[in-house]
Amino acid sequence: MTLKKILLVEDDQDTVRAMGVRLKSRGYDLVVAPDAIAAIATARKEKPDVVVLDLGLPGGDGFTVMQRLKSNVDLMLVPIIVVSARDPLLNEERALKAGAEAFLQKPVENDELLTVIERALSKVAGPV
Amino acid sequence: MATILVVDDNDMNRSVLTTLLGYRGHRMLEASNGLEAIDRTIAERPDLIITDILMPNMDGYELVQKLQALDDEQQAQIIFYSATYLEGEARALARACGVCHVICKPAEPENILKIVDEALAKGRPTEVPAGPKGALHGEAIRILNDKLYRKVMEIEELNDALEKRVAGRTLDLEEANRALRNEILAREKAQADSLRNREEQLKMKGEFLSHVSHELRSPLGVVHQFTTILLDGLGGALNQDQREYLEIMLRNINQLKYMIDDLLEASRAEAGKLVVRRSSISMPDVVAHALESMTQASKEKGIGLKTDSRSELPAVYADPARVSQVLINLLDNAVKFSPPDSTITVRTEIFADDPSFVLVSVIDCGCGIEPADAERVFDRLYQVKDSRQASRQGLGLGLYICKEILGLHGGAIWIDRNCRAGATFHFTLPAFTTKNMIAPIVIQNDRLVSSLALLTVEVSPATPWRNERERERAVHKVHQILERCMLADLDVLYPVQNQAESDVFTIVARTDQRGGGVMVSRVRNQLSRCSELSEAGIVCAVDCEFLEFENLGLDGPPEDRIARIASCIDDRIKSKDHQRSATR
Repeated sequence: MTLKKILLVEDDQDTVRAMGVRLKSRGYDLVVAPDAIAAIATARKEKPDVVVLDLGLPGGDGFTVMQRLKSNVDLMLVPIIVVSARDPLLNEERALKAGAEAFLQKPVENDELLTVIERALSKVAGPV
Repeated sequence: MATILVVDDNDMNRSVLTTLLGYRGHRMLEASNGLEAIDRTIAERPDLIITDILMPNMDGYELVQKLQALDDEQQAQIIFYSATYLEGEARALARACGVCHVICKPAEPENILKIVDEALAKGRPTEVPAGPKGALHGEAIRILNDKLYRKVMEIEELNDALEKRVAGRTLDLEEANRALRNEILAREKAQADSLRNREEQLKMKGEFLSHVSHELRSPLGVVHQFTTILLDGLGGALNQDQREYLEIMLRNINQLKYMIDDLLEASRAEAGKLVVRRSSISMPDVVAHALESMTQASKEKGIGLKTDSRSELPAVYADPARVSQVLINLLDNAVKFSPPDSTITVRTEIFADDPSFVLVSVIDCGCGIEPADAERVFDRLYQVKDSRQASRQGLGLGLYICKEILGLHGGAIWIDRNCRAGATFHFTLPAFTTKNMIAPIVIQNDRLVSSLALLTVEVSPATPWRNERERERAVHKVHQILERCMLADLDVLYPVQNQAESDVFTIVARTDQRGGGVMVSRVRNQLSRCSELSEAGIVCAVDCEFLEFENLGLDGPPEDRIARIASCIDDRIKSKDHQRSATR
């Protein structure tokens, strides 16, 4: 069985490192994109199973990335989990409307992130 | 000794002469003007008359003429008593009208006495001196003219001085006026600026706080993540000390996280952006939930938590997450300040002062709160200063946030001042009652309405809900749509009733049969047009009925009548619930 691949779109290297350790320990394959443009390119190339997306990014914010992913036929079904330090009151509904599976506020409890990722994966894998 | 009459309009001048001559044993008479002098002369027949020259009404010159016109036996010696600068004129005048003596003021007493003695020595004049009348007039006119001229000059000089002073003062005043006007303009401008800037500053401050607290979150998140990575053994095995140190780190990281949350909440509260989503909630449930999340912290300190529910409680109309936030904040304080092996009690009861509220009390056995602090602990950033509690206590925002949250609910929070040991915090929340909710809409033109529409929307999924979030989103969506269809002041929306498989919205609307029909079709229309609901396979059943209150006996005080209408509505809602559960 191939490892499930997670695309982590995050510009903060320390956060990438921490999440990397955490996700790899759970047996996920991890690819990283540090900005909005790399996010689209990496998603096209790597075909991830889940995207974990920060909102504040260089080169265009997370909402732009989401819009681009959702309008790409190959990628539109890939679940997106938004992880941001921004105010959920102002961003959660917008993120969910744009097609995100969930909105988690930083700092994220590890269990919460892992649970949400697992749920998103099971949903996609479900009907197959 | 002689009788002497002193004529002078100046009291001081008269008294100088009467005193001086009185000492000499003369009988002194006084007159302050010409007429009086003539009267006294006729009555007293003085031997000598000493008169001033310039006097009002009748001057010395005229007086002398009048005196000389009297009978012979009334003639007296006359001395002119005049200012030194007029000496020349006085002597000329004296000569002209046959007066032999002149005293110039101010004069030495010896000089005065000498002249008086000389005059008296001459005795009464035997005949009236007949001076050249023309010369006399000429002299008098010249004296008066000179005098007038001097006075005019004096007045003109005074006038000039006065004009100069007025001009000077006018300049000063104009300068002051200009300065004042500038000052007023500057102040008006400053005031307008400050008004304009105030809103901007408040907004910027809010944005700044919001920005800072969000920026603080990211690095904190990284620290939090690596700490938990190490604790979970993902960085290798830990010995006992290492584990303990990391746990201390994690505890402090969490504390920092709560402070950042508080900072954000306080900035929201200040900007009036705290959001409250009210529904009908059971207070004991919320208390149990809050106590559960405090179990770990209280256990660590060996503190017991217990509840005390004193009576059958009505549901409260509040945001469960916000009420829980308030309770956890109060419990967290209580745990912080309580000694080990003590107990914290959360009591719920109907508020005795106003039974339409529920009273919640958090009672601890800690160090208590000084009366001086009792009011101020709810102020923003206020912290109790107490050397016994030198440890960190957060930002001092917690109780401020509690106060703001309860205020938004129409409740209040305060500290029990009668508390003998420990501290007791009380807060109130409004009970959820139909009466409280409908009271604003049932009175129309001072009369109670005779009918209302009762609209229900039952939201249920075609297949069972996949998760709680899906259900929440659907309910939230329906809530939004219903709010759009409602009229403020005329319709009230009940808190959603969460039932086993469905969620029921109830609206009481003040409308007639026709208006009710329009409202139902609008609600149906809006719900069916919402793709989010239809795509998720969510079914919304809309139902509407009219309640008539004509036969309720609408008399008695309005309070009672509203209560009767409310109980009628409650009955209908209950029976609808029964119908729904029966059909299932």
